[in-house]
Amino acid sequence: MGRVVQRVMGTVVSIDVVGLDSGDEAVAAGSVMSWLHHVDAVFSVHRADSVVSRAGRSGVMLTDLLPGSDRDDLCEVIERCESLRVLSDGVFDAWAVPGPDGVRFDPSGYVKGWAVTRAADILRAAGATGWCINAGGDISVGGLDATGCRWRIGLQHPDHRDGIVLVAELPTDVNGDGPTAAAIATSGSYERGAHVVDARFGTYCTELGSATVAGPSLAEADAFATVVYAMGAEGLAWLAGRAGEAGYEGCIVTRDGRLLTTPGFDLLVPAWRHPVGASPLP
Amino acid sequence: MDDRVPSSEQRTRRGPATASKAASLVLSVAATFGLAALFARADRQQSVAEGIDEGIDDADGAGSAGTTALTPSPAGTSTVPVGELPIADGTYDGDAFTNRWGIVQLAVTYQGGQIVDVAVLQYPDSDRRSVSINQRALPSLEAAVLAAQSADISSVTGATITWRSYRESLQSALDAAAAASAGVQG
Repeated sequence: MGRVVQRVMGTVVSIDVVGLDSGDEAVAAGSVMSWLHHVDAVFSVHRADSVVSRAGRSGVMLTDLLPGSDRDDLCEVIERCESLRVLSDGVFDAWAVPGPDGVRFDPSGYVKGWAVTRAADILRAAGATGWCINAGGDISVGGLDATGCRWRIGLQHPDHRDGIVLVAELPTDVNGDGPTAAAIATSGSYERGAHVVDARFGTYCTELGSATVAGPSLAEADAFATVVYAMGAEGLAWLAGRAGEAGYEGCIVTRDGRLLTTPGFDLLVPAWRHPVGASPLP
Repeated sequence: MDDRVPSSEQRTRRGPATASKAASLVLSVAATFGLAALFARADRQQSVAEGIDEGIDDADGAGSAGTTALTPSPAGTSTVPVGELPIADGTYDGDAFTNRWGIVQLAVTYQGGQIVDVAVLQYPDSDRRSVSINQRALPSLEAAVLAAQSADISSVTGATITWRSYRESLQSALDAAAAASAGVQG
């Protein structure tokens, strides 16, 4: 089966599935896309009819609007957003996102990564031995690709859409328990303009070219990338000191053309995968 | 907003042996609100302007907790506007301060007026782990483009793409190539 590409969640999602026969691969990829469309219908603040949008206007308690599994999902997202607010010392605050009518609850910074992590669970449950889900630049990979190799993820150059600054080989595998998963996410302003907000000040952040975080789960990696981008230069120290404990590593691309990494990030990026011209600074 | 943008453009010059009261004040504010005040925020004003240009409402009070963090420092302190006084080369230790998890202390190395290294001297629960930062020069644009063309990559991570820009992106080229190769195999 080829790669499945669809427009969903305000961006483009590309899915590769490995290890199923082609009919089952298509069904599994279809299930993933259906799930992502469903998440959009519940959580998107860009859709006036979403549950989160309706609750934001009416003031009705969010969780009262939903039955069953959607309510559990929303409770989980709210809980995780609160944990991230504490972990980031208020930089990431889903309750303080500027909207058209002032500050509102907007969990978008967490929901996409969380939804794609769930999507990976769908593929694993379907028996896939490998997958690569790219949701608009934030990626969940599992197992191995169709040639038995680890997935190789290029990091886009913030100043040049046709360039990459390195290639990360995320440490996934297939073992007795099945495929293991990993994730990598990037935050930046070069596609959509200034949109990342430091909730402590209510200001838009553009200090860095981009911030990238890799680790076990895209739910966290995506949110951490946003936090690092919002924090600017000190975000990397925050990541290395605080979030690194949980197995997350990252790098930032500065606006003056430097690539800074946490020490562990280099393990994801073999030396020969640093493109020509990128040598360690003294 | 206007009353905090100018102050956020100020940088506290931290000499190794110049722990002035003003600097302590700024860092105690940082202790309350995280690591924010330790580094320059020179592009804040530009960021906000950019947000307005984009047609995004700049919600005043969005970070109501943060507004008190950056009230202007008293006159006669050591804070100076960015750009008027370059930071001398060297490594500057920040004061240790306490956030809700414990004691935090950072050291920042400047070279030619730019941050070239950030090291964490103390961080809660991080003593078992090196937290120094590695860095490299970015490849030139030419080298980066060459790398994208020659690298055997599965996918591209980057800032969240729009449907419109996707059609001209590296990712769409990769997707098209993957679809084509699958067609050949099938």
